[in-house]
Amino acid sequence: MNTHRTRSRREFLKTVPLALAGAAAFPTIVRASALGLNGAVPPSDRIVMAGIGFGMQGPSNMRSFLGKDEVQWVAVCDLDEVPLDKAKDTVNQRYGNTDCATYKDYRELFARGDLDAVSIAVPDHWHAILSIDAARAGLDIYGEKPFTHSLREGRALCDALARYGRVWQTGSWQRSEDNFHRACELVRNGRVGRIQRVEVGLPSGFTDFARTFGQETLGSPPKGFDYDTWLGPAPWSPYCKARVHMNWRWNMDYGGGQLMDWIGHHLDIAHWGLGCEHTGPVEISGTGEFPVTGIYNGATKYWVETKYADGPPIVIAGGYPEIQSGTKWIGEYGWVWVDRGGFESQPAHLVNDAIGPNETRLYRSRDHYQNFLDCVRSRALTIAPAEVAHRSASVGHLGVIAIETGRTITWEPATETLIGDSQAERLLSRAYRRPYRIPA
Amino acid sequence: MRATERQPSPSAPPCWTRMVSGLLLVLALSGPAMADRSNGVREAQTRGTAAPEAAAPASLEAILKELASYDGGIASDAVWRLRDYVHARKDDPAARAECEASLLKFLKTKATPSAKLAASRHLRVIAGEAAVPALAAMLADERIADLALYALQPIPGQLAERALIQAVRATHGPTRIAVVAALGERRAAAVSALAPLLNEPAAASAAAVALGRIGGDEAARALAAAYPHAAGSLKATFAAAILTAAEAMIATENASGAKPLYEMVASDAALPAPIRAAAVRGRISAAGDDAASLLLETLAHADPPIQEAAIAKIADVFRPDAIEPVCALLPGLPAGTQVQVLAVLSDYPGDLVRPAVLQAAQSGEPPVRLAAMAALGAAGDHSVVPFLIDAAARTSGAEQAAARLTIARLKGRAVDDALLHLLDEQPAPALVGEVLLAVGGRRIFPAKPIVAGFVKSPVPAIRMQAMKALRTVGTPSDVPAMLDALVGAETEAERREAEKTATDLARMAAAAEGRARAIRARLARAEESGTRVRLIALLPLVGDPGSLPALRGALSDADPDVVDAAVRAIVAWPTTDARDDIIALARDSRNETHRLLAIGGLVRVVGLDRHRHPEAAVADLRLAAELSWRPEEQKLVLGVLVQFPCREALDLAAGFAREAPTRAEAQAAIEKIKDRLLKEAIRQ
Repeated sequence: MNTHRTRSRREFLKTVPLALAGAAAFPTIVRASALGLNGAVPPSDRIVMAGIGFGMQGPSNMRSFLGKDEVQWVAVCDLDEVPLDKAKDTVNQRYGNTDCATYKDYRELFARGDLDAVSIAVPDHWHAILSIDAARAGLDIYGEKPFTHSLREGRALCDALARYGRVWQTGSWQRSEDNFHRACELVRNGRVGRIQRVEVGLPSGFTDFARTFGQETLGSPPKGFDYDTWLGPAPWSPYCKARVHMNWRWNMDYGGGQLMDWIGHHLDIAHWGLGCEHTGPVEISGTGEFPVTGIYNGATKYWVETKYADGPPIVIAGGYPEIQSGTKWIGEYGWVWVDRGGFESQPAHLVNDAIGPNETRLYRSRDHYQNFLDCVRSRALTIAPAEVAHRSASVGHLGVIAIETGRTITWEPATETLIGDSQAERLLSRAYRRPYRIPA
Repeated sequence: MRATERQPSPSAPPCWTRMVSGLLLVLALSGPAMADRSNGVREAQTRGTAAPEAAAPASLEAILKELASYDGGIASDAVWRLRDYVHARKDDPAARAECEASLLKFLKTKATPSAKLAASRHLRVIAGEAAVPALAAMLADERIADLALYALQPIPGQLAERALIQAVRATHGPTRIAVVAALGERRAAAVSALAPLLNEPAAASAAAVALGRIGGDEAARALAAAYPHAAGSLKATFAAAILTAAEAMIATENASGAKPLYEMVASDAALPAPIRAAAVRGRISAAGDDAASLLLETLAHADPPIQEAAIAKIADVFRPDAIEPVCALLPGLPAGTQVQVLAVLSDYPGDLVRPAVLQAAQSGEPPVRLAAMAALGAAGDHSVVPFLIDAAARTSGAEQAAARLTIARLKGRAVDDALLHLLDEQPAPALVGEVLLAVGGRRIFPAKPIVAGFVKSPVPAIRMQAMKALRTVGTPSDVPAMLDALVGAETEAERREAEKTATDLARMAAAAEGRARAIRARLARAEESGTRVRLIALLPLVGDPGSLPALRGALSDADPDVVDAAVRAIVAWPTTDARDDIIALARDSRNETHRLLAIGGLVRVVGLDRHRHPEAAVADLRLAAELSWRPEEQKLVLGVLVQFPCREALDLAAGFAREAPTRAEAQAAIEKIKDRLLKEAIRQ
């Protein structure tokens, strides 16, 4: 569909699928399938997409997009040939041809000139550079959480997305699930009264996604894997299997441990329910526990307490059984709790309470990927836009800093500045390894 | 795992000994491979305490000596001992200075790169101005320049800034580029040092980005002066940097400074469209009183990417009471542009934009109609109800869905009144159906008597719609009427609707006991076999425990269809109350179909109580497995077995693993059970 190079958006939108046009004016999505348009979207009207990063979430995201007839997936990009080839095969199998292009250098991918959007699922330390470059290339972005690897990167990415007018959808897909949406609407409409406290329960420990725990013997990276570029802006470290695919997230040079891995889910939902998605806490304290051996240095168990200027305190914990997994809003008259596959309340009947037409209704999306595609066409905000994702991630970043410094830190959300703590201030960003730098 | 001052969890479950033995069991079964997957947990600090030094503190010299050979791979306890050491001293100026000096010295040794990285992580936080000269000097050393900058870039104060500015001249190649970027990140007062670099091909890009980030009049002037001389990709980078600088001016209300910058970029046709579009947005932001006319002109005449930029600014430029010119322009815009403008208009007060949106909802362009209909959800009021009901009734697919959704979201009691008022006019059946749907969707409870009346309509489609609506506005007192509808249903679809409505309404009663009273009463009166079967089928859907005696009685009914219905109701019972009945059926039924149904039911019932003692649950599953010879049921058992991790579960699964038809499922179950035992034990 690339409107800048093939045909005008005006021409294109004359034949835009009805479903997508509908979403333009209102963020509630009517699927193309509802129109019986499956398989009937002309190639010239499809949204042309590519993906970067296929180590973990990338394949799943891509499969979801490949299931949409309005998407034409043309290329895949990864620094490792093994997942790259698998991704290419998936695309070619979907379309029954051998057309999918492969790239190891994302700059070559962006230079193709025919892309409308890109799905990015790379390690956190690459989020900002890649996404800013994508925005400047005029691409809309489906990006993974956490929004960025450092808080300052988050602001830079938000500014770039606003500057270039790009549509951004964060992979905080819980927002497009019915139970989370309903829970937030109940809280917003005061079903349990004024909220006194929010508890956010996240996982603890580390999960061995790649089955590489313990494989920390140093060696050469496998042939076909560009390890130096994989390290990118992170400090140089020698290669070992445990450092890279999937399990990189437990090392703070590339990820942020369980706290940052999940902050864009349950804390994001907490913010949504409270309606404080565009601000942040004013005071943060925290403690953590860390591994005693190995290359991972993220917290395995943590407790972060936050205070908001105009809202209840939020506790974020991993590894504390008293804090239930998921998000729990505790109000004057009861509580609402929601998690993946779980939705309960006290009083119990609240979960079945309907939200009336005269009450507060929240943005509705029933398909996270479709919501992104709809907004690519309409230019409306997605259900998990950049500023919201940045504010969710910020709470995690500040929690990590509070744990690291061992102090209660004071934050000014409006200006995004730390007050009176020069040591903590330094942890808001990282100097990049040469030759990497944040683009404009 | 290093044991320190860990505080016990205040809510540790009482079964921890079982879980620890579970861990031992899993480790014993799994061998070293499983043990390798566990990760040691170290406690840096516990809640409410300061950072500890767990063991007796070693000297920093000793720690660094040990650290020096760290290769970046598996353990180096020295990494963590260094962390503890520095953390314990980071808030004490004298001790911090001692750490700083030792760490700086360490960076110059022959220690491994990974060891030096460990040291520089702490310098990043604690290094003060005294460290600046040493760190700046290290920038000249290719091997440690990254680590030096890692610590130097965030050091606050003029001294670090001056050192970085001096390093622009003193360094070269990638290090120089990194220093330039560092100055940009710091928003340093470094324009005079950076501006000359705009003319150096190797440094121009980094210098431009840094200057854009630093911002201010001087940086902007430098960028603007260099811009005409830039070529190729450098031109786009310069333009992006100019946009960054201009944004900072807009943020500080210096629109007059930003305006020429935006105009310079916006007018350069050689630039990529995203950058030009960004400049157009900026131009509108900086246009002051001319913003509205500039936006309208852009909207009316520009190319799509640029139009898009203008649309994004509508909300900033047009106050609610001034949106009329945009509304007036709307019908003349291309369909795609209308769609995007309608998305913006939906955030404006309905009174001001409703006529334009309603007009768009009648456009000849389907995408525009759809977008407008959705916008009416926010901009509409009671006056658009007839239009939307009519649209919902005469369209299908996405347009119908959009109309219905919009009706459901319109705000105000007047909307409810307008909907009910439509029924007074005896409209066509299709319209009645849509109104009933809307009544249900909007939860118009006072309309219950009206809805209940339509359950008896002669038109089947209206009856169906009325039943659907009654599910939300009805109460348990409507159950008898729904049972009448069930018995009198003309089609299977209508019967299903009546069943669903009857059971939904019955379940609304707060107490489970008595919920199915009306159904039982009707069952007691019913004589016809089909009616009794249908009523019995409702009982497990309602789940009133008072219905179980009736079901037990039906098991000995003379009518085999009634018996069959009772068996199916018992095995589908939603709670564990029917467990003994199900076991009896599984053991004793002479009907093989019923026996197999009961075995499946038993497995399902075991799975309902996740908090049951695992050994007891596994005993029931073992019974189910023993009663069936078919792999189908055995696989069901394995599916539920993983919910109850214990030795007995592993034993049962191991038995299945010896049989070919269930081997794969059994092995998967064993892995899951082991994982759960291990995780729980670690959690404990």
